Amino acid sequence: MGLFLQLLTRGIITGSLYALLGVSWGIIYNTTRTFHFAHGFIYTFASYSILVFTWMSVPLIPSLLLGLFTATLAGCAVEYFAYLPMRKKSASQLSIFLTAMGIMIAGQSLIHLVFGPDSRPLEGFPEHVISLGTVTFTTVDLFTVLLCWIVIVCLFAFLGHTKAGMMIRAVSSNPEKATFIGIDSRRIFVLVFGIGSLLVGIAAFLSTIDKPATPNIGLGALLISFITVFLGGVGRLGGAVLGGIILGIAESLVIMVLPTEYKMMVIFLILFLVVLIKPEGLLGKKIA
Amino acid sequence: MEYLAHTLNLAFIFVILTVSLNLILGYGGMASMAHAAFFCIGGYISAIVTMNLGCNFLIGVLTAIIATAAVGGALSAPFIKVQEEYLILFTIAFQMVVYHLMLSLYNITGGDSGIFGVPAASLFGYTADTPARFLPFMAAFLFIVYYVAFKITKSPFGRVLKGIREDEKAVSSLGKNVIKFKVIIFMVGTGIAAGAGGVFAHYTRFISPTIGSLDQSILIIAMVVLGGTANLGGSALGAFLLIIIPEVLNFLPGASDLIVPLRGFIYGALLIFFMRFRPEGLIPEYFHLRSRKRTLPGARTGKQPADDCLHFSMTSEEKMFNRTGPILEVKNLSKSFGGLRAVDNFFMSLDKGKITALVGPNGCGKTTAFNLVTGFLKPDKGQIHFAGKEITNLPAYKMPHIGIARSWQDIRIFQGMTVMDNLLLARQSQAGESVIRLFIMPWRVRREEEENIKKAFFYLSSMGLAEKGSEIARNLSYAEQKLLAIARLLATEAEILLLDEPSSGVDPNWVKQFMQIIRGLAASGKTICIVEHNLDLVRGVSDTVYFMAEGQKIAQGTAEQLMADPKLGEIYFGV
Repeated sequence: MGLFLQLLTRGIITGSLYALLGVSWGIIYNTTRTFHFAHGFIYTFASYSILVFTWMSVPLIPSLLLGLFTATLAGCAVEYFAYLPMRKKSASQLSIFLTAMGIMIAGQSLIHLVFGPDSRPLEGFPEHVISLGTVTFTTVDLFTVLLCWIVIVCLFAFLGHTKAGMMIRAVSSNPEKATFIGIDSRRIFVLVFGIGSLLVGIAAFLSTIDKPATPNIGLGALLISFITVFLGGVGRLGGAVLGGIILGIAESLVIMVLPTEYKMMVIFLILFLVVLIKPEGLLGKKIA
Repeated sequence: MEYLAHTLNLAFIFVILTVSLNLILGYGGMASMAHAAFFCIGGYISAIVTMNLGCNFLIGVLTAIIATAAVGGALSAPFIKVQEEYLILFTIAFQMVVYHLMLSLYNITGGDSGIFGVPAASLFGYTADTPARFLPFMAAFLFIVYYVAFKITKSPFGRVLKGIREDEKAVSSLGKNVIKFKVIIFMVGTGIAAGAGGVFAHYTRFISPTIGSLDQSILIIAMVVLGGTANLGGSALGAFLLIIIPEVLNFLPGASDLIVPLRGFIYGALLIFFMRFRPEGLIPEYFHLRSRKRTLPGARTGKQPADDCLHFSMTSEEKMFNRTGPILEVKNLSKSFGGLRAVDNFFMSLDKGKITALVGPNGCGKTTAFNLVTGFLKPDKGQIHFAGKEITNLPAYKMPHIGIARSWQDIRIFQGMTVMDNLLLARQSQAGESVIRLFIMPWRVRREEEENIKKAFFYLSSMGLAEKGSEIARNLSYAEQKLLAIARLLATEAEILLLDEPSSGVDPNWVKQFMQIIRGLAASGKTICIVEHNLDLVRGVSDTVYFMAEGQKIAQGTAEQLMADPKLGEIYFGV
């Protein structure tokens, strides 16, 4: 029982981070239908920009804000300079995906070239162990869970109650009709890429205070982001949250019965079964 | 010498991998991110089979090909079915899982140290124990792969793939199961990759997970994109160029630590550059040139004046239906989208050899009714019977085969294909559309193809397009494209033809010509149903008119009867 509770706690911590990763990719995919493979690069980029600012002896919080700002800009730039010109040429989904993959690989390699392959820790965040009965976790974990949920709640409030949020939802449900009522979908796309990149930057920050950054951290995060979205349901951001929590908890609890190497396989198995039984995802709308 | 032979062997392996991925990515239009994983799996299978059974390496390689293709097909099919992004999702996840498993299943794969002592390839007492001695095997394998890929892509099967890349819906409206074609080309590609893995394991006598990483998969994708998608020669070029890059980088002083990221950066930058500025790759797809040569002989022999062909002869299939009265009956048909009842309790029956028109104001459910009858939408309620048999839930791709074919309001001809290929794609049950029959009965495929070219030419001439057979469809005028769409519809030889707004966007002269064509078709025994806004056309051709409003049939009769009714006029024009 003690082990179960401990693993469940760990699952909730991981799941919260996965949920944040899920919405960060999901808001982009749901709105623009771009298989944004370069999201993994933005993740790594955010991590390293925060690091670079701390190396320039900027305190942690301003470094975080500056890092998030540059990551947001980078996300917008990818949309504006790479995807948008291809959309204008009405390039296929496949070619935009291949471009995204190119950005991911080139960007990740560039970070490797500039900063080397070593792991880079982000220091300065107070870490203490907290024990509640048999369950232990750290202040970093607590902070992660809190921040993830605050950000997710803010995002949903933004989408539901602001004009910009409603415009985003209009474009994601029907881009063509959104244009008829005077919404410039190109600007909404850039905005959405900015928001998604800001969110993934926060996720990158949270994992870098926990584990040091390396040039290839982005791939794992990317993988989780889109598996979460497809698992939870395309077109429904709530689905990504649900998918994230399920993955986090499943991946943590599976340790009770299987060695850790099978973690990835369990995630894949869940995904496979969901696609087989309910291709539109757990909360998704039926695909015509 | 051995170094050169080794580099050549390595380059050949990558050419094989690139060609096989090009089948999936270039010809199938699907991104597989797991090509290296399949390659590695093939290596392990062949290594384990030959080491445990002590059999010849060929048996190991064959087992690898068959097992991997079967597993790859079974796992990918549910994902391919949903949407194109889902295959990306599946293959990345699969790639990661396989890589992790190969590292962690020590008992089977030997973990990260891999399996040593894989038996060398030998055949008839010739043992390939050095790179130079292996070269003949590698060259033979490359030749076989090229032959298979060439044969598949230039066959009727390849033609369907090309159609799928242009317009999936149009392909299924011509009676092809799009998912089946995609899964099969995926299986062929992964099977070849696995075979390459097997050959590679017997060549290096060693197999480990390092060659099966995501980076390798991405490298192969970069090779395909660089060389040119849907072009086999380009794949060889792409593979050779990208093999050379790291060799050249080796000569850079002090760059040894940086080779991996530098290579990654170059591949990534090449991908971005090519997708943006030269998406067709170094060597673009020369599809048109080849098909032009192929169709010319048929065009010369079968030349006939256009007017004779308006009288269509009864084919053997049609004789099955030489009955009169209703041939297609629709009862109680209903379909809702959310809260909107698009089609509500709709009844219709089409009489053999008659022309029926569906008219009504915009948004009255005509097109939805059409999509329900042709299987593109599933009804919530109701039945459809065709020649006495229930066909209510039959998928769209089965419709032309049983004798129901449709055209599209927005034409949906294959713009990038020749006029002749547009028609050939519409022919039903072609042996050449099966990869297996392509290889075991090539003579039958060839004979059928000649037959189909003749038939296609007949339908082309009936629309006055005989001279245009080798033209690329997008170069035709709009009116000609509309005629081509009809010729393509006829080439399915379906009994019932459903035409969606055939006269939209063309001038009155065309409409006159079209009315003549459609009357000729009905006289030859075809059953026709049109959705149409042009009331002159409706009056000119239809035997029966159904008037629809808000999803329901509200009147039925001859065109004159309905047009005399002032109430219908009000609904129609909204006054």
